[in-house]
Amino acid sequence: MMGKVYIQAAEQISIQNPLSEAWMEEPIVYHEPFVKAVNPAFREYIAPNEARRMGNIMKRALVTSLKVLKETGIEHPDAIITGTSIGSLDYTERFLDDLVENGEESLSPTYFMQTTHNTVSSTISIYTGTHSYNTTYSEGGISFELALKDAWMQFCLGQISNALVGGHEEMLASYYELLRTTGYVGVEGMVPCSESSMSMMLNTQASPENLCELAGVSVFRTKSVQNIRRQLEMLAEKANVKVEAIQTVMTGVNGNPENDRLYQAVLDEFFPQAEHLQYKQLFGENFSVSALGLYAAAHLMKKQGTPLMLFVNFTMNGDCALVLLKGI
Amino acid sequence: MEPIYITGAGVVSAIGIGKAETLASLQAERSGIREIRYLKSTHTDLPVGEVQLSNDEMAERLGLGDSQRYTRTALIGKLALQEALQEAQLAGEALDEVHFISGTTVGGMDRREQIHAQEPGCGREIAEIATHNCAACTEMIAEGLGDFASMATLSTACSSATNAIITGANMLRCGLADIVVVGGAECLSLFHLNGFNALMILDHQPCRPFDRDRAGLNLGEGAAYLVMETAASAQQRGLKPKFVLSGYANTCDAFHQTASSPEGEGAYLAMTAALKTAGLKPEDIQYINAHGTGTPNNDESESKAILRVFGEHYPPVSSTKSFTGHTTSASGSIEAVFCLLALEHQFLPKNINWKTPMEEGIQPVTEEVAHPRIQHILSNAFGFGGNDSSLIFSKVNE
Amino acid sequence: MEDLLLEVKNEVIEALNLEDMTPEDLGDDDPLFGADGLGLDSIDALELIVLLEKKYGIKLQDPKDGKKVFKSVRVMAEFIQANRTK
Repeated sequence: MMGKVYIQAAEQISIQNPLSEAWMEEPIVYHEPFVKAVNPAFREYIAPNEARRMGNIMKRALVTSLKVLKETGIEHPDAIITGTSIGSLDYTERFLDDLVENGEESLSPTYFMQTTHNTVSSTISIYTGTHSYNTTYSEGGISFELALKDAWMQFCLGQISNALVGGHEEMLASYYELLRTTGYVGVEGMVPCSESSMSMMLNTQASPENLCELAGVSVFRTKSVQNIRRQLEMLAEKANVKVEAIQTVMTGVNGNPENDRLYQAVLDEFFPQAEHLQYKQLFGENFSVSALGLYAAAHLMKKQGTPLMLFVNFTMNGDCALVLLKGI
Repeated sequence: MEPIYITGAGVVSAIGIGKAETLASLQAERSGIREIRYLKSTHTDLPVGEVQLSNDEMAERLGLGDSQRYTRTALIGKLALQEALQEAQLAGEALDEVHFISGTTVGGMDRREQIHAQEPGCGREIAEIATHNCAACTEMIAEGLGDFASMATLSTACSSATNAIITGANMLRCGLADIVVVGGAECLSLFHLNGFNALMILDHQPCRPFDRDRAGLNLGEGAAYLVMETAASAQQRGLKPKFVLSGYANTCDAFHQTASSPEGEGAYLAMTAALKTAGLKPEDIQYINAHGTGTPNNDESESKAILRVFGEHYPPVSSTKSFTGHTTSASGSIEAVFCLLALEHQFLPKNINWKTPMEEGIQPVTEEVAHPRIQHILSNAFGFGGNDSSLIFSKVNE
Repeated sequence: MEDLLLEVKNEVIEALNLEDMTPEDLGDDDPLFGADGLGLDSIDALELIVLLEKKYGIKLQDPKDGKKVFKSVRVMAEFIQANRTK
């Protein structure tokens, strides 16, 4: 019988003020189609000699993680699991540009070293000297939820009692242009394409300081609205709740009709009376911004005493993630 | 740990398309490391382990129209996936409830590097190739073969496929799946060939794992997938599985992004933990399929770790990267299939191209030796970033 | 040689992204690697090999030769002066 799992703490660096919940009262509003994250003063957290070989995504992942580790007093989490779709994009592009423009000689090993997506996650382990389970998922818009689900499974099997889980994405203007051309971002009326980093500590220990309870995670190929319903019912049953009891739903609606269509259909059909929350108007759109959504959901639940919330993430290439949160 | 049955396997690498060819090469000690033939690189002096089929030839075998549509990773992956599904007797609607987990790092970079110069101001077609990420590669492999219940992509460099196997195993044990298909796929690309070259860890000769004079690794490419299922599922489908995944572990070396710690701490922890989950002692292992890339650093580090876990009387060890080269993200599952072949046919894959023992290091299997019945095999995969994982495969006794 | 010493210092700082350092902070004979050095590692050595090749046209075949060549800025500069093809 699986014990309860809590979201103990969560920190972010995004297009809102970093490492703070100021977005709750005073969100920064953007009108540009592409916005880079607001960085904290990295040197307050990472020694310059260490930081010199880290791109933005690594520094952000490390800083959000270090802050969470400090807050929770956990030095070596039982698992460090990360989701990132495009990893160290900056260094990947630099290496690729150099390769294509200048040929197959005199290429930078430092750039190449960062291009495997797991360097983000392993940087945290290396920096903190943590030998435990460490893995990285790179599955487009559900990368973070797969990391969350991995942690969930290990809690389920009694293998861990805490886990540092994160979702991180960086973006470049040139890559934004490519994504705009594919129709993923840059669509008229939608939220900006953004960058974001979020690390959270999951813990089996109950405490009034915890943000909320993580009551279940489900990740699957969307396939149809009926399939979504079926998966939702299984998720709710395992968590001992009725679907009808869900009065608050947070979705990844972002102003792009292609993206919003399915969210709207599901909200209309299954949750017409529930409160509908959104997060992408605050944090923008990128492959791992759903991590920021879950972070926001957890903080909102804590602040407002919400008893039950369903978090929904649909990707435009046919994946769905459902996360159930309970108030403590 | 409840048994996780392996009911299907498919493998493609430099030493063969499919298990039969692969077995023949392993038993005949026929290396697949050759001069570069398919990848258009100027580094013609670097030996590699390429799959001996062009993209067009693979597309034709798969009954696909235009090979241009596909990354080489996906073509190789599809060949392996097809073989695994066939053996497990899974097709059509039966795959609707099956979960697919694949490891890759290169993904579609082989195509992107070809069109990269055309990206500025490009149209949708080029943009889609340019932004074809790891997930898209996994989807491409699955396309036409199954409408899986879920798809996931792991990217932990050289331990990706091993970690895909671990994630799949956890899903089965949690009751989140009855059947999973797990493994990895990776093709050669200019990107990572040159990346490894920049790290100066490539050997300009065929690699010599665990040899005192080893000088680096050779890159390879390939794919392999395993079908794993619960006991209940295998029984319900009327199957008599021959193998189980009896133990596994994932740890982090936490030392450096590209080098292993001198004492092989991550490797030591991974092997120790895998034995523990399997309920086995070191003396219960009859063969170790090492990570054994042939780099001075890995082999030294792994050798130390093996001696720490197994002591002087370590079981026979070999690195089959001496046959295939280092197939990076796919290596964990490719070598898993080699382990299954070894269990089924009761032979020890050799560590070919070995001459001189390391100082105070392990000595691998290089000749026919008498060996006890092979019941349990340990397989290692150690990735950049210190992502170290170990698996234990066992024979199901009739 | 003075000009080359300064140039090498700037190149090293840029190649290794030593953000907080200026050429003034780097002594001509200060050890670059090792316990008394700048805390550089094997990857930094590889980057310096790339620097030698890209900027000065010198190709070091064996990474182990780096240990001798990169002892200090002065040793590097002398090696470059003697072997540069660019």
